Amino acid sequence: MGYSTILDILASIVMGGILLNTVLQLSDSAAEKTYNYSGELSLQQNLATVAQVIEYDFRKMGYCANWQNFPDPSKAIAAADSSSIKFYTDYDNDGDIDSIRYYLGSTSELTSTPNPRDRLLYRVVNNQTPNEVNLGITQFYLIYFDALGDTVHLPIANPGIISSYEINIRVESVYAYDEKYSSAYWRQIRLVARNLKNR
Amino acid sequence: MNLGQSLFAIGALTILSLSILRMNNNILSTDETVMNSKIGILATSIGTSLIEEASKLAFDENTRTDPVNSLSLLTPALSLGQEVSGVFDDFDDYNNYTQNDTIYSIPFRTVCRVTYIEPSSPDGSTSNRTWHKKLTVKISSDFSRDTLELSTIYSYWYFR
Repeated sequence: MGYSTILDILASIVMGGILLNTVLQLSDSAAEKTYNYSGELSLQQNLATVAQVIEYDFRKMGYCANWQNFPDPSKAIAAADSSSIKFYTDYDNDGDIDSIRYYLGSTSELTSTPNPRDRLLYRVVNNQTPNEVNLGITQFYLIYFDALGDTVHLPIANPGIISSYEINIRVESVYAYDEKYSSAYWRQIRLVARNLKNR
Repeated sequence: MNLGQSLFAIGALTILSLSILRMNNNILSTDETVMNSKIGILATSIGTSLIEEASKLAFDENTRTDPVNSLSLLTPALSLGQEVSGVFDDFDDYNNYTQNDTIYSIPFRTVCRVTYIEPSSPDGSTSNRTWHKKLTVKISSDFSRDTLELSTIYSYWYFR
C-alpha cells in the first residue's frame, strides 16, 4: 500500500467523521425540535384552557340571578392580592350568592415535574375543597385599578374601590428538551361587575 | 480516486446538503408558525382588553348622564370620535383611535373604528344613526404576517 493510498484513507476517515457528526447533529436537532413543538402545542392549549376557565368565572363577578340578593356590585370583590382574589358571584345561577377564590400555590408543591417554576392554581367555591389546576402555570399576577384607571397599590384594605383589573398568566412547558422550557403569556384587562354597570 | 468515484462523492454530498437545507427550512418555517401563534394570543389579549375598556363607557356622548329616546339626539355618524382629545367617556370615542403596545419586546399596533350598524346587517355599517354601534379592533405587529381583527356590538338600553 503506497503513501498516497494511506493519505486517501486518512482523508476519507476525516471526511466521513465530519459527515457523520453533521448527520448526528441534524438528528439531535430534529429530535429537539419535534419535542419542543409538541411541548409548544400543549403549552398553548394549556394557556387557552386556563384563560377560558378564569374568564368564565371572572366575567360573572358581581352577577346574581336574583339581583335583590346582590344589590351593591361594589362589594363584588371580597379580598384582592397580587396572586389571589376572592369574589362573589352566582356561579350556578340559582339566585344565591357564592364566593370563588383563586390563588397560586408554591413551587414546592410540584416537585414531581422537571420544571422548577410551575405551580398549581387553586379554585375554591364557597367552603368546598380547593380544586387544583396543573397546567404549567408559572405566573398568575393580578393588578387592580380604580375608577380613574389608577393602579391600586397592595395591600388593598378596601376592595370596593377596584373598578377593573389586569390578569397576567404565564404558562411554561412542564417537560423540555435540555431544560429549555417554552413559555406563552396572556394579559387581559377585565371589569368588575360589568353587567351591572350603568350605561 | 478516479472520475467516477469523484462524481459519486460530489453527488452524495450534494444530496446531503440539499437534505440539510430542506430540513432547516422546515424547522424555520415551523418556528415561524409557532411564533405567529404566540403573537396571535398576545394580540387577542390586547384586543379583548380594549373592547372590555370601551364596553364600560356610555353608549353615546349624549347618554352619559340622561337617557335618550330619539335617534336624532345621538351623535351623527360622521362625528363619531373623541370630543375632547385624550378623554374617553363614551363608546364611540374609540373611533379612529390608535394604540401602541410592547409586550416582551414585541411591538403591537392597534387601530379602532366605531360605526353605526343596522341589526339586519351587522357585518356592514350605516351612515344613519341607530341604537347599535360596532367597534372593530385591528391588531398588527411587524413580527407577524397577519392582522388580527376583533369586533363587538354595543346596543343602547336604559333601565327604568
